[in-house]
Amino acid sequence: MEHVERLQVSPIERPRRRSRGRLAEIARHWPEYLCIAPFFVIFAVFFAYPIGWAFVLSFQRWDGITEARWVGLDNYRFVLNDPVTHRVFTNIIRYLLILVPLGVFLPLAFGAILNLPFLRFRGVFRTILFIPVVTSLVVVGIVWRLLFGTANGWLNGLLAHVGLGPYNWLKDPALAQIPIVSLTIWGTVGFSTLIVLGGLQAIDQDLYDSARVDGASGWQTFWHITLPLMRPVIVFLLITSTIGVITLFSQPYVVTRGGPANHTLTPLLHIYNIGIGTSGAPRIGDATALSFLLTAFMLVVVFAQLWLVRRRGEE
Amino acid sequence: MTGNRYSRRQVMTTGAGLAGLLALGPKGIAQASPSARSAVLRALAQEQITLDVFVHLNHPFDNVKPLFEEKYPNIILNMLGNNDMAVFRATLAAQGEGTPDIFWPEIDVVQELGKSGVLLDVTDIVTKHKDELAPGKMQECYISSTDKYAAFPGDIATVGIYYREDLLEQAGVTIPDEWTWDDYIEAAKEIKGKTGAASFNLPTTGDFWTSVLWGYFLYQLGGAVTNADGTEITLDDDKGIVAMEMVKKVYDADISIDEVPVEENFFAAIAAGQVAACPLPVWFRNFGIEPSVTDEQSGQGYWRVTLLPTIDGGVSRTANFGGAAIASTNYTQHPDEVKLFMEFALGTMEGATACGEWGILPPYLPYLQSEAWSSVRSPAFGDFAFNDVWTQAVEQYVGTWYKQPVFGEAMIEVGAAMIPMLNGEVDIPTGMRDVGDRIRELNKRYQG
Amino acid sequence: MATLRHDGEESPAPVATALHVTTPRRRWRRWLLNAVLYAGLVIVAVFCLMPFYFMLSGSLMDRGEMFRIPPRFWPEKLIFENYRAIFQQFSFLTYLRNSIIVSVAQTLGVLFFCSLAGYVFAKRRFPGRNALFIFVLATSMMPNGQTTIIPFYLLMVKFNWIDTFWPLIVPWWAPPLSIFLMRQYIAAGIPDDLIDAATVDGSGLFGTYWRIVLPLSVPGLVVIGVIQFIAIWNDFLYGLLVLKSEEMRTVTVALTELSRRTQASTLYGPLFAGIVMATLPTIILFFIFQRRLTQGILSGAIRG
Repeated sequence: MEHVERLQVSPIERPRRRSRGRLAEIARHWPEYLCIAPFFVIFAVFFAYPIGWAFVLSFQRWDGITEARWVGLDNYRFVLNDPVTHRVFTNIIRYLLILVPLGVFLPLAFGAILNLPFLRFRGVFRTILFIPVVTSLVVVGIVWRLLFGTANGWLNGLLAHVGLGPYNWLKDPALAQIPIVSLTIWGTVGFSTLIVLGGLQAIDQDLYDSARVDGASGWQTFWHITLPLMRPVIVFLLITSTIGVITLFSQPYVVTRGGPANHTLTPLLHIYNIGIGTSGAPRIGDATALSFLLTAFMLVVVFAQLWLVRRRGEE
Repeated sequence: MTGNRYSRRQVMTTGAGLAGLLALGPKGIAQASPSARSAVLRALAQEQITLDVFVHLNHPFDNVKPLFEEKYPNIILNMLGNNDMAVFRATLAAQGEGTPDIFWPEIDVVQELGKSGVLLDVTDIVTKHKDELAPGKMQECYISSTDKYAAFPGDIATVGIYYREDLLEQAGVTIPDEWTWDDYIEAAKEIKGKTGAASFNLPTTGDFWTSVLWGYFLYQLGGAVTNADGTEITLDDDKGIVAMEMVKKVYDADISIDEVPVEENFFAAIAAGQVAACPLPVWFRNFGIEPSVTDEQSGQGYWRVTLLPTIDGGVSRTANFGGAAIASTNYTQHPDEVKLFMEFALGTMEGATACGEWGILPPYLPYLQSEAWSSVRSPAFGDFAFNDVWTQAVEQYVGTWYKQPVFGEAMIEVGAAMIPMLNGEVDIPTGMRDVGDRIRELNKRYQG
Repeated sequence: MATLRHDGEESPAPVATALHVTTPRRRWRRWLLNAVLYAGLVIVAVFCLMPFYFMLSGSLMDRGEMFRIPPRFWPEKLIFENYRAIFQQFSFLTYLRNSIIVSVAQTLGVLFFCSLAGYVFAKRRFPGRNALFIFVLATSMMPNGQTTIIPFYLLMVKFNWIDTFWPLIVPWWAPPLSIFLMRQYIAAGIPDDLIDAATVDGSGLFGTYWRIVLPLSVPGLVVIGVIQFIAIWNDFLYGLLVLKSEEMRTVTVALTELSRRTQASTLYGPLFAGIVMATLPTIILFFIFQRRLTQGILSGAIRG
């Protein structure tokens, strides 16, 4: 994000007052526009169009079969007052508070450890950490469900050996978070760690050397050199974790199906359920309305984070 | 599964036909002998028709398919093995583009789609077999607002008590012919005390699995979640409250296992001998008992079935959990062939036998009264004639358990609301009324 | 232990910095630190590998063994029946072939379009560049996936793309995040002088791209290539939606279908065998490209 803001248009290319000049300018750069055209065409056709249609649907009542009916803001009114909506947003905020810090600090910690100069088997650990990233969370989710089963779950089986009683992982509202959180971390920490490692290794060694010469302690080095230079990576992790958490779907879909009693129900899973009609007729208007509310929520959260982070960086 | 094999055969048949045609050529046909010519024309007339069938993998129709194709050689069934509702609804939204010719919907889906008019009207074939089909099941396929049958009766999902004779003997419990749920609960306490095994399954997942037991009691009382056409919500009336109070009695007696019956944990519990008895649907035998009961510890040879106990003020000794129907849509290109299949699969002795052997309870009464049905045995049940019990259950099957579009969400909401009611945090009449109001609000969002 | 390597010394632990003088106490402390460190890493490694172990052992177990109380950790007798079933009963090779076709086609497209767009955003100036780039990023936050299933399906119907591979390939040829990554990589990793030199030599936009930018951005390409390949390989939602017939199904879709039927518990064995077989290609791919991949990520594909 930083670099985007720093890009300047060179003085030569500042648009001239006359619109003619502007148009000629655009025409002159047709190869560039051609290069980026595929993205915009694909986006317009395959995404903008369905999103626009979904937006229209959010003001209608449609069951997918009969004629759609205009109901104005009724869907939004219902969704905003629906206790299930409140529950999914409670859940998503809880996941944000748990998974985003973990998603930023864990990779930083692992990256720091893997970057230790005296560490042996660095490549092995790095590889092992990364392998989970290449798997499908849906497929591994099945394994997770069996892992955390109550009567014959493997985890309970292991715990039984040390005398710890069987835990109702998937049925207890409090405990059910653990399979979801652990699966998410399992599947993403490797990639983030690698990114952190990349950022760490990009730091110019002269900086560290001169800091050492100046007598800075390890902690000071970390705080004043490493952290500021790692800011882009941290911001990247922050944003991608946030977006990833807000769009959490596969893990609760496979492992807990949103249960118990909706305590692991994420907004996208709920949207999927009511939009498809997993149980009962589909409420497509409600589903699309909720999804746009979710998008608004995501934009707010992301921009809030960017703003918070920017302020600190300007110190 | 078998998709590849059949498409190869298709290709070969078509290929052979084409090769034959090419060999003759248009001039060739004109010059061929009259008998050869009419043979070719006859072969051409009996065109290959393929019906797309949307059923889940491992389905009773796998058994029906070879029999049907033998009887009607020009019809091929393309078993798609894909029962995903999301996909299906997307095809409906696309005006039938990709919609299968035959699918296997649950009853609430039949009611929902039937009311909207998108299902193929099968009133003619249902009324033709009126006397041979279970009345309760036919009622499920009947759309009251259009006075038509929108689906052909599928499997009847009755519910009975599965129990282990050996564990009951161990606990000194015998089952009388007429018993009430209170009797059963008392016996269950005995069983729990003497053998440690459970007699119910009551999962506290807070979704529709939790409300299953409540649904059984409500069914027995003759109540339902809604009225016949879904315009009124009746789940919180007196019957609903009585049913919930009965569940609380079960919960308080601490005689149930906290597992979802279709999950691995429950199978493991059965295998480990932790379940002595349980009210379960008829399809559970194939689903969960047979795979899990393999040795002495799991009670092989000692499993039995019986009707549900009576509930005070009840009208039935069975209940319902699930059950589907055969349906088609108005988008199909071959409605006559589809109806042929429907009739064959569950309206003839042949089809019903094939389905019954797979493990569902067909609605075809002549089959249910036949020796073939009665003589089915299973190693888990020893020599016990469990199908006779299911035939009795079918006689008890009422047509008042209405499953309108809001049924699914209603059962989920009741399940979620049940936990505080069972804990005692919320008193039952208030809790039920709250759920009822919530469902009324949701129901409004469905009606057109 | 006393010599410090020059790649990163930012660990906050003071012990790491003051290592020149090793008193016995210090040595013991360092040994303890090492032990804790490696123990921790081993625990993390076990955590990462443990599901694969269960997948493997589950795939070798007989159905009856899988659901026992207490649970079994290793099958008493190895069963290869499950693997036979998955290949014979379920035409798994077809699914694999389909997954490969879809993933390769999609990834190649991504590599081309994203590197081209990334290059243009990074090194070429044209009116509205910043605004357009921000727009690209913003689109990554728009609702799609579960919400737009039905409109997406209707669109695919209109294009007559149902039961073909196209819906899994074309719409995903320009993911905003990949464009972002390529832009960052090219902006930071390819010196302007090279590009200016090429322009002076008379090479046009595409020529510069083809001859200079593309070869130099291979590490970045590997990164997004692997990410995209894995993402589309593991897709199940859209595959489920548009692929109808058996011959067209991809591996993940088939496994999702299978997993829904495992409630009959008879299919768990083959399911696990399928899971192992489905995960294997991506792991193999990872090992092949591992060096390049880590090099790509480490050399700053994602950097400020």
